[in-house]
Amino acid sequence: MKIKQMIDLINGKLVNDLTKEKMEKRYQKAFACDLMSDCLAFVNDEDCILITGLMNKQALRTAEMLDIDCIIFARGKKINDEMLEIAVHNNMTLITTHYTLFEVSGILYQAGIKALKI
Amino acid sequence: MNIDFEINIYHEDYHNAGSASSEIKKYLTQLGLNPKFIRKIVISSYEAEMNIVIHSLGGKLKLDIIGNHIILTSIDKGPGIRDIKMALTEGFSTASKKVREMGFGAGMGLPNMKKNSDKFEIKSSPKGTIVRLSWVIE
Repeated sequence: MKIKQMIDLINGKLVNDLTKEKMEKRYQKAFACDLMSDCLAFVNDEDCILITGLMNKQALRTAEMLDIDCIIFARGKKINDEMLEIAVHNNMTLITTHYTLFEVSGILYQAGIKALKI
Repeated sequence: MNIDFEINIYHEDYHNAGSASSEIKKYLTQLGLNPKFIRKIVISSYEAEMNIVIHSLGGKLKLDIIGNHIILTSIDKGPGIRDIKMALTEGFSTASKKVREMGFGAGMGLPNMKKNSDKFEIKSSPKGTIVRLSWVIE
């Protein structure tokens, strides 16, 4: 699934500007979690989307270490400049949505995004 | 190739937490190592860094590349781990509510470092904890 389709489905907002290449990238898997310790322990595939409600720099740092380049922030939270800086530096895509973690996961799952097997 | 560098980490410095591991990742990437291999090292490094920030009175992360070995050492100034066996059990944590709200303190740190390294050694006393992780370059 491409970023544009993802954004349309979850009524999301793209936080940062993306290159054409990033807009064309297709994602197939996702991992939804607020606990970064668990992300670090269980995410075994960099080619997945992180869906989280954790709105702090550690969410970005965790994604950075795991080579995850697309994060959806649920529950309508705002991204600050420091978080944006880490995202830009690591060529990440940040999306915000008012939907809850459960809703985002359900919508994307229904549209064909698979769970990361742990 | 013998390379080493160290980065100081401070107690409860949540603002910069992760930046040392980010530097390590950048450095290992510049060396042209396999991204999957780098990931194992930086996951361990980030866990170690968060442990120093959360649980210790401060310390440092040290990266050494000696021949075909990468050695990551986490050294802190205490107060030490009371029960290493328990600390190595998945899910065991002494982290505060504040730390858990930040997404950490699930009790996966040390087990995850062990899982991601080729060799894992830990020594702890009230004066400090040393965790030494090593990998053979793939």
